[in-house]
Amino acid sequence: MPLKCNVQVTLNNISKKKAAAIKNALEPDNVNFPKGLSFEIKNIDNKLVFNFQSMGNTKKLVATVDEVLEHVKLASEIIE
Amino acid sequence: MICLGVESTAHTFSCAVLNKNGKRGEILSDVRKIYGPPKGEGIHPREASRHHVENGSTVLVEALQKAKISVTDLDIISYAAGPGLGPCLRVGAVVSRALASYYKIPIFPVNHALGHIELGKMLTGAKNPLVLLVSGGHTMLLAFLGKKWRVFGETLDITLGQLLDQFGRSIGFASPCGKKIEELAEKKSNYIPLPYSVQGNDVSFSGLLSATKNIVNEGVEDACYSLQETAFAMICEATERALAFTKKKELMIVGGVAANKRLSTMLQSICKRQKCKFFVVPQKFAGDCGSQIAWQGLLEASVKKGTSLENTFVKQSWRLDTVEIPY
Repeated sequence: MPLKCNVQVTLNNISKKKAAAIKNALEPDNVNFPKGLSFEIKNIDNKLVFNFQSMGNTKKLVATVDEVLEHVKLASEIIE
Repeated sequence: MICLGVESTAHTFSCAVLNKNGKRGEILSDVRKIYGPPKGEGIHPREASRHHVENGSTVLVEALQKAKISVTDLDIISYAAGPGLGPCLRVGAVVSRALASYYKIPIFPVNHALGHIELGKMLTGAKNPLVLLVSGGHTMLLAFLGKKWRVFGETLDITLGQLLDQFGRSIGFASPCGKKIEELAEKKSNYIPLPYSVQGNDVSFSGLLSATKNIVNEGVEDACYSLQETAFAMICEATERALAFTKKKELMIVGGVAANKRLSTMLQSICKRQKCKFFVVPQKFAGDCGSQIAWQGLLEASVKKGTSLENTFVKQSWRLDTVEIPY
């Protein structure tokens, strides 16, 4: 049976404008994901929540989380 | 109109600020950081993208400082949307989208190869050239017709830049290897025969690469000399045929390999025979840089509006001859 994994990352205390900019920066690349892997971003109040889900392929999940977090850090840095 | 151009298709992360006044362009700044793989190894897409992430904000700040402007002075942002390495392309796209979204600046995804050509035309003054685009990612002969750049010849396998890099790496050089090979080739003139493959107007370099690796034991300098002479002669044959066919009165060479002086000398002699003007992109702007992307963005902004953020794509395989030129 494939291993089902959920990873949630939350960015707290972030302004609505900044959260929207980070979401807009990352979302267009959220396409053509490998089978069994999904990712969504939610902008809730002053938080940005990233939900990753994978069925079976944990290596791809880890690589995706790694790349997305790098992009969040970069987007956050350049608009500061 | 002021544009920030972001380049991140492969080794280079670059931000440049250009000002367009009428048809004239002015480069206000062009800052680059280049990922260098270990000696003997090629580019690793994920490692290169990490390099770009680590250097992204520093390069951006320096580009704005050198141009003496702030982000709010930008009229548009353009980024290289392809062709290129997926993880690297995404870094440039993220930087551009984040700025465009936060500061409400129009955004333009542009074709990287087109940027090479248009900046070359702007800097050299060429009007309607046959273009030889030679780099790590491209080996193409192009002519403009019916709102598109048409391919008159190209490589059937690896590019000229890949040929030089892969040979260089096989003997322990660090990429990019073109300059080192050129330096060694200048020291010798003993030609060792190597496979020469021109098919119509297309070239093929993979057999030449294997054969050159096999003659290294006869002397590295001789191998470098023979490699350059053979590969460049192939390019020149295809170029001369395309010039004769298209009857173009200008030839322009762009791309990283345009920095090679031996190639320029050989192309100059062709232009003399074909009675056409020869243009070569200045060495500083031959390789990938943000200026190419910024200028391409400015040209597109002169005839169309920016792309909505949700439609700002990256495309790893994006052929130049599929792009319609509206300006």
